[in-house]
Amino acid sequence: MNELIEKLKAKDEWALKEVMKMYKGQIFNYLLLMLGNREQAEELTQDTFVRVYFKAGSLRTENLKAWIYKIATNLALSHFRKRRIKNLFSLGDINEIHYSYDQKLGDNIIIEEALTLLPEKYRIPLIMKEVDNFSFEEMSDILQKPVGTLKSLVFRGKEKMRNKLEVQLGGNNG
Amino acid sequence: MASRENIFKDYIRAEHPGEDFEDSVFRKIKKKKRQRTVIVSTLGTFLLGGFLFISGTLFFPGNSDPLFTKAENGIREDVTITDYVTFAASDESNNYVIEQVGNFEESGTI
Repeated sequence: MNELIEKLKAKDEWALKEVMKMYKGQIFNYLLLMLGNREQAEELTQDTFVRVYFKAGSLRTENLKAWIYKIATNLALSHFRKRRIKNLFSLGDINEIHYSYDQKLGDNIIIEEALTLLPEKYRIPLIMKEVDNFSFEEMSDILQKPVGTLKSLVFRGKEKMRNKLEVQLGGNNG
Repeated sequence: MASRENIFKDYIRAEHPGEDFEDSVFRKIKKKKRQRTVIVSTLGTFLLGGFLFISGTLFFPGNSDPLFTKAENGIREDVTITDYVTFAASDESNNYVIEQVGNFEESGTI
């Protein structure tokens, strides 16, 4: 892994290809869950690796995965900010909660829909913890938030998810 | 459905980005490199131009065009002046007539 990081720092394209092979699926799914939109998720996943290529020289950690997730998270947050500003000046649908998933069946759809309805501040830590299995320490490093805050956000996020799922399932059953 | 306590227990993600994903990334990298080259060379040209201008002004002030240039070959050129002068004077016994006085190039007399 160290050799790969060194090559990546030297802007070696082979190293970038290897890194993409290793992480593109995870990052794409992470962003897809966060954004709820396939096109935007793919676009931001590409941008993540473009940034990985140009910023590799400043990489100061051996935890490559956490570093890439940090870049992806920052891009997603920036995307959310832009979307909020756009909504602010738009006369269209202010909530803009319209998500489309292809080839999804059963429970996954329900979970993903409930996730995308959660506010970002709960959604991001919840995905990182429950789906990507990051430790709270890693999350603290990536999201620049104290561990205690993140634990609380994950806990409350789960509670809100449950409530939403109950509403959704109740609605479906009724 | 996963249990209420563990919502994500059975959750599996298996989505993949498009087939030309890597090519798109390299295309974006190439584009960004080109943009950077353009920005750097434009900035470099401006800086170099600015540096040359400032150093030219500071170190070679004599080279700049003066507002008034010297007459060529030091030849003096006379410019004809035509004007009218009036005057009057008197004392106890005499009055002096007031006349127009001209300095004409033609006559050279007053």
